[in-house]
Amino acid sequence: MTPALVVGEGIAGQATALALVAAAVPVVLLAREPAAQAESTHRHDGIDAALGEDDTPGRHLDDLLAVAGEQARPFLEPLTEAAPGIVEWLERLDIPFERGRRGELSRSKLAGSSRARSLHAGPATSFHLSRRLSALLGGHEAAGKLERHAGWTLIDLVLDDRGQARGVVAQCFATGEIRAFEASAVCLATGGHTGLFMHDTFAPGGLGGATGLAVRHGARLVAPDRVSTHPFCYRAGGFVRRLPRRLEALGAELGAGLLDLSRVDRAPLRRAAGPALEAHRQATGTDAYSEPVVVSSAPDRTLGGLEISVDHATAVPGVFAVGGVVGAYFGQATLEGLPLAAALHGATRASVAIARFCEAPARAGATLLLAEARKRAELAQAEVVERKGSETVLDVARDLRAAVARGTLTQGLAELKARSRKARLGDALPCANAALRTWWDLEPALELAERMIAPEDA
Amino acid sequence: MSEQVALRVLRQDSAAAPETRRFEDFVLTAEPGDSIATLLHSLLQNPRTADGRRVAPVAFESACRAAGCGACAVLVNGHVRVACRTRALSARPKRGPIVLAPLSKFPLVRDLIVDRSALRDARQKVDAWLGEPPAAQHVPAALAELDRCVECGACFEACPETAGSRFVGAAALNEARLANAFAAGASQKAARLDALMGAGGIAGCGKAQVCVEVCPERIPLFDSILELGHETSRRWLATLLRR
Repeated sequence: MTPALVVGEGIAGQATALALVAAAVPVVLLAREPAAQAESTHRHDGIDAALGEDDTPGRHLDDLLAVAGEQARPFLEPLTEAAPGIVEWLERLDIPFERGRRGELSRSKLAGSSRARSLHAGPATSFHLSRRLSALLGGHEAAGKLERHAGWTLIDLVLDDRGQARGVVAQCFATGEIRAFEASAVCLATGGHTGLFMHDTFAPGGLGGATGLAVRHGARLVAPDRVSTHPFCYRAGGFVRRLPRRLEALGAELGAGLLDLSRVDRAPLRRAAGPALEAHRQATGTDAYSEPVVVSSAPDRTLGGLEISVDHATAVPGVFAVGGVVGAYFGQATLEGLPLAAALHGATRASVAIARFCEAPARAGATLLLAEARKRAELAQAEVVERKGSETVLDVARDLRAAVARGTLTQGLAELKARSRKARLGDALPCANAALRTWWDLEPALELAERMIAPEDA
Repeated sequence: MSEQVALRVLRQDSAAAPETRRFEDFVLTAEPGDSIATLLHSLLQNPRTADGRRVAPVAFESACRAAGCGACAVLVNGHVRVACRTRALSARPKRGPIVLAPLSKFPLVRDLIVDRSALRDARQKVDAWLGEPPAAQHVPAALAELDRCVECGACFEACPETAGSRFVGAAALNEARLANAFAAGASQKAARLDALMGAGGIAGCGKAQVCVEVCPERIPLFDSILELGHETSRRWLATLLRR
């Protein structure tokens, strides 16, 4: 059986790979960064599930729909039904959720929820989850059920004459090798395009290159310009960092750009945010436990993304999408504990659909298609390496971000595209070339940006 | 107040080109809160040496940029440090520039980037993985302080026993202890203890305890090693008595 290919090793990608292995589908996991470095691994969010005696999946659904909008019902209804089961699985994986005196799960009531249904393992629920998923996948890799390639940049999707995905072309960052991977289906778990909305280069989140590639090949987008902001961001050494959103529910006071935690009980504060506050202290030299600290609001998560069916299939046959890259669960806004649940629930849904998709008899002819696609990538690289322009692709990427952040994209996009066609790499070596990696992302990101200012229905 | 910082970087174009090994000097402006990672990121945008030559940007790894992962671990003045957690102004030695070099115990990729897949191989060797968790209720393991590894490789780098030996290092041993404790790993415990008693396993630790000092997450790695020592001894005795 030709393997299914999962792109991205964050929470969504790992969970999908794991579910596919459980469904006896051979998997190739391709990731730009290893799991420990994925954006989703380092988010502070918890996970919501209707677990209390006063709570039901129906109530959970009502709360979510009130925020997201009715169009998200087909996605949120099965999610709220599945959420308690997901939490039970996480408990069996020893995710160190906060617990009460008798060992029962501690549930907190966060903004937008009518019941206490948010579970946290301090600020590191995702981190612990990512570590467990990695350890499970490591076991499967050792048993030969999974092939893993970390440090590979996605260059293009490969489609056949019927428009069906047959594989991808990617480049190994360390060696510069360009290789084509054949696949019976491709699942994008590449995260959102939050990086596009940040002013500076040091932002968390990517440019959305993979989203742009899917769009190039016919995938549709939902509200790609919709982004949620995080009120408790701070800058340290030019980097945008975050404090947990949950501080609000613990009694943090926010006024005039200052976050005041001095009146919050220390013990629960330490439990909920200790490591995040310690990282803040190390980076800024101020102690958030005792003095007000400077925070500002910054883009934190794209709410829109690839349009999918309830099976997580995109409009491109054979291309599925899970996690932050998807624009289905969030609608107008999201609650803190939804994205993690959406990634895990989405992984289950997608894996079932992918397994079914992979059962169809394989068509011949992928070898030639893949060889041609690899050749195209090599020619494109040879062209960009030769350029002698005055500015680098990193300059263009920085200005693209600035244009999106400042809302000047409509006027500036044509110029940015022209500049990207001339920009040089500034680094001619094939191995570990950050400029080259950015360039592979920049071209499709510009296509994504184009859709952001010209929605499909326009 | 921003200040000028001199940076000397040990560079090499690729593993296959040892003849390109060289030091290059840079002078950068740093704000008080700036980390070594901040400086490396600004070098990406404008890679010019102290004497004004335009060079290829210094290749380095950096991911979360928020002290969350271990991607940017490098040698700072000969000591292993996570670059985004190390403030540039206070890292300056009394005399001379801040010297950056790649970790020395891993194969070089380019400049400050090394291939840390040995960490994963080490985990593989002691089978520090998990299986599908059992359905039954169980008491959760209270091991949160051990459950924090960011895979930076600092312990492996600083350990006096990992050079030229097969010793798997403290991180892999810590993961093995966790796997023994977790419900999802308990079924493999016996096989794991056997693997730990094999070549490169627990006996490789020389008890220098440098790992504990350099771990950016302050994981009590040595406690894990001691605990595994007890467990493997018990298992060894048990097999002896069964004979």
